[in-house]
Amino acid sequence: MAEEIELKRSAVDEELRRLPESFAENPQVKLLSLFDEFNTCIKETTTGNESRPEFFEGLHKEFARLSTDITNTCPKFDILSTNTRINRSKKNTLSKGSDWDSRSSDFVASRESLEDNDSEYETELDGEAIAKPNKSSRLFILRLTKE
Amino acid sequence: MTLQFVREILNRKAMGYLPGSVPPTVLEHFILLSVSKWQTICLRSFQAAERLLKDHVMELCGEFFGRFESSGLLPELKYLLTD
Repeated sequence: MAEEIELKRSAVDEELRRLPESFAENPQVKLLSLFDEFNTCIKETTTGNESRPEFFEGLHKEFARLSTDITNTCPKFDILSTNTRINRSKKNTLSKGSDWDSRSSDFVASRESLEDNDSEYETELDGEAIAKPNKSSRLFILRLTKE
Repeated sequence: MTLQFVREILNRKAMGYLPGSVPPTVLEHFILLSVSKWQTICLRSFQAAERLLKDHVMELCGEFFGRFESSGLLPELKYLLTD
């Protein structure tokens, strides 16, 4: 019987300890200290303090998405393979008799027309266009080498 | 982005420069082409971070001032945060 009473008493004491601090004595100072504690907690959260990592843990996914989205804005160059180019230019010649694909404004031209048009991008190696100097720049280089 | 487009930009902006050299105006044009897309992305990310922070502060409000619900302090704080 005495043991039971003792157990119940300790349980009540524990519950009493868990109760929030009473503001009956000097409520103004206690409320201000509570706000101060709250501000410190917000500061720790926003500065990524080790004691409160929840906020930055939640932002981790967002940072990853931001990084991916920014990386995806880099220019992507459509460089067609030789076969695609020849096929497309053949189609164009058959359908319109023109070397340039006017519908998509893609860089599509037959090898002959590129030479005729004095193009800077004449040939291709492993899917990459190789820049070649145009007629005027070739003349300029020739003049330089002769001098 | 096609090579034709790149060539058009070069022809338009590289006037008066030596052949083969890429003037800074062309580089700037292509850099700005990418960077102009960043504003929307950054704003979206900022809004997501703001939402997350507000949710977190709301939780902290409940944790710190939950006992003041009947006195009206907690609803006032929540109102300030949602405003």
